[in-house]
Amino acid sequence: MNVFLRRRLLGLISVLFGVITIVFLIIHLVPGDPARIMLGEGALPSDVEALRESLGLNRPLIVQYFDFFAKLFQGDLGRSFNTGQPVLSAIIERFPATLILTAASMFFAIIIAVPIGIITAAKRNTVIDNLGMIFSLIGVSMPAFWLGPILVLIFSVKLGILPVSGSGSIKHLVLPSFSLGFALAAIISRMTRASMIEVLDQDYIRTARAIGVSEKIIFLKHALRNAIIPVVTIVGLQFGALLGGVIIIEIIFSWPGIGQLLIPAIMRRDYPLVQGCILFIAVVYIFVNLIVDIIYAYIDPRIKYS
Amino acid sequence: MFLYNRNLTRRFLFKIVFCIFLICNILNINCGKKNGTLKDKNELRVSLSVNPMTFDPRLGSDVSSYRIVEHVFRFLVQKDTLSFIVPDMAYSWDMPNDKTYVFHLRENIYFHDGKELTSEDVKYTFESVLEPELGSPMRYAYEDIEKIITPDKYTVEFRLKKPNAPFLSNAIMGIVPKHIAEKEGKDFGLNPVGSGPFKFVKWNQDDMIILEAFDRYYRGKPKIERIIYRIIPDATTRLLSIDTGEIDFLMNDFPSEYIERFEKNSDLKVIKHIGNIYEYIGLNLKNDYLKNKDVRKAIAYAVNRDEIIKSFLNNLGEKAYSPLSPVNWAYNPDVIKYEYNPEKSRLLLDKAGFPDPDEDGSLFRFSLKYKCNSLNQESRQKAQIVQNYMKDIGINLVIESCEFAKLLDDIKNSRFDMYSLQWVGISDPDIFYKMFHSSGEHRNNYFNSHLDHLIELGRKEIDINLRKKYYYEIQEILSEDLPYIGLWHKTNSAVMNKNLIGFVMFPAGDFVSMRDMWWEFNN
Repeated sequence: MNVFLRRRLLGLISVLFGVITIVFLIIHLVPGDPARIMLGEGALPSDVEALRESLGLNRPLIVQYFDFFAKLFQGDLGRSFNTGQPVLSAIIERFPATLILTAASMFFAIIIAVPIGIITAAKRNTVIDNLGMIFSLIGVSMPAFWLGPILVLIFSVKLGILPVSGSGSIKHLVLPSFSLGFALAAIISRMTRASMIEVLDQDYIRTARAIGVSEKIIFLKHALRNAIIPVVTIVGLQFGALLGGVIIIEIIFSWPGIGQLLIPAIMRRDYPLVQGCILFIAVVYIFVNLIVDIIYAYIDPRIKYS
Repeated sequence: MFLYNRNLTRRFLFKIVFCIFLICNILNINCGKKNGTLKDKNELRVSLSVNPMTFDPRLGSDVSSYRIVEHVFRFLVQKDTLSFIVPDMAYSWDMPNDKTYVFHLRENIYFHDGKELTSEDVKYTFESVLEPELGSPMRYAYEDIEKIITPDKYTVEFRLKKPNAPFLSNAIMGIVPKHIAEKEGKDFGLNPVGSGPFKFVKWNQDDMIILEAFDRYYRGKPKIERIIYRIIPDATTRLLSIDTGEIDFLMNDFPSEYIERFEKNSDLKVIKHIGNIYEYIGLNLKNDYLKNKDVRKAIAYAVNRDEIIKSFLNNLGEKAYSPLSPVNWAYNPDVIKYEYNPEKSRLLLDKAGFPDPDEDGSLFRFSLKYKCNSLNQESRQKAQIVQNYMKDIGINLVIESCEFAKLLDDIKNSRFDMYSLQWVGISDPDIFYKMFHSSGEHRNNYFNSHLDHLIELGRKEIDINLRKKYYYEIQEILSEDLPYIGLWHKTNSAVMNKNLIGFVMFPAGDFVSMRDMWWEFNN
């Protein structure tokens, strides 16, 4: 396990290096001068030049690149060009909100999807199974940025039972997390169903039935435990997709997370903030996948890392 | 097996129903009652579309920042609804000569920490803006200041290097407390202390800002106890938020097609008034076709502004014949007005040497590139509308939409033939310096030495009648030369709860009158 972890951590560093390089080059090569955007239309050319100088934007790109890395190794992600706030503290301030929303979406998706997957597998080729299929099709066909406003129209405008946007209470979390988690629920439910069906056809399940083990035990203990392994993989991989989707949902629901920090930062060419946010998201994504790999070993005794 | 599974399904369904019941209880959901129908009479919830950058009046140049700054801070002078300068913290001012302004401050004006505001704070505010280290985007406006003198606690004297008529407009700068701003440095904007009607309480980044009424405000404590600004970046969410009563006040930040919906809503009221936003088409005068004045005039005649304002803007605009709006004191109503006349456009293009190649309109005379902001729906739609009008007179307009920062970069580096953009917050006519003076931005390669001279005279002249004369002539020249094609002045629209009283609309859509607003319920 230790060797595996070491190898994965080394891989992680090379992935992060790649991510930082690509983001750095893209954001610096896209037209748009941060100093001019900051100082506005009427700024004196001398002031724009002075600001470019003070922000270090007049240095060659390669120097800026290595300088960014040098600071990164000291744990310094720089300061936002626009607000002057340290990038790390700006991200840390907003990340809990993003994490809460992502986790709630994941929670919603799992509590809806896994039972649906189990039931549709148990009721294979019945009306319930077909309803499950329809649910999945609807789920994967509705993008979160469309579903969100539709849910707001129903639950906030028509019924008036949930707030349109904002944060601060569980009420505020319901619609954004459901909008984000719904498509994931559709995927997980199909995956759970397929996996359960495969496992239920195995010899050991037939044997269990033959010796009189109750259906409850067969489903929840013997079948589900084995069927859940590919589902965990999907959940882990989808976490990255959720982190991407959460950015749009945060804008729609005015949720004060990383998305609300990142999008305006891109518009204003706030290089340190954009680099910091992307780097942070990449780190989280990689770690979640690493955790998923480690969880495998616990839920499937056949998997051993060496 | 079937029986067992049915039991399993029943149990599962029961658990789901129980969970929903539990969640509803936790959320304290009260079905059938809309959010926010019962108002806290002392609270006002306002929507902002963008998180402010800072609350330091010396640094914040974005609209969101200003919406907070105008409540937390007060200025030496302020503008009235016609853009005339009127007293604020300075009850009067005089000019011993054309290079000196002396402001007389009111006594007993206090900062939110209880310390009295004096001439030293005013001096410090303006001097710090001039420090390049602060990086103020407003520094250019004060570069003519030579010296600031404080003869006594309530008098400030500004000595300028040369006469500067727009100086009074530029004196609209939030005064910061020297004893705090000096110590806090750039962090002052995170926890501001001013002398305005509302004091800063809390800023949850990207979420909300809370201000509270200041009881020692020099004009008396505001009737509204708290203003809560909600940051809502999505236009649809803003619309739904005011529909459900989650916010009480919304200014301009909505697509114009929603105005009818707001006007029909009996819980809301809409206040509209012409604003000082100038929408225009910029032309690159280095382009082989556009350097010909007749081509520019042909384009101006080809755009049907009446139709655009009626159909596209839902009447939230007025035709623009000058960058200055009709409510500005320097507006010249007698400039050339290019009313829709496609036939005249075609004749002008023929005259300019670009005849219709096949004489039946099926082939284009020439092509031009038109840049617009890809992230702004209105900008994209506007581009398509203009494209259709140009097609009608035989000009092929190729739309290139790009993100705003790139659009600005392209304009600055003359990588365009035509573009659409707006000038926001035009109040002092000295804006012509930025727009068209050779030392200004001159976004479109238009140079005119006589115009430069008139703009300089306007900047130097203190007599408002003489200034008016110069700006009248400037507007006449611009309407003849057409470096810009004016489209419309956008109408400011404030949508608010019908029980809110006392809002006054300013040309820049300022929130300043919120200090005098109150709730009035019939029952």
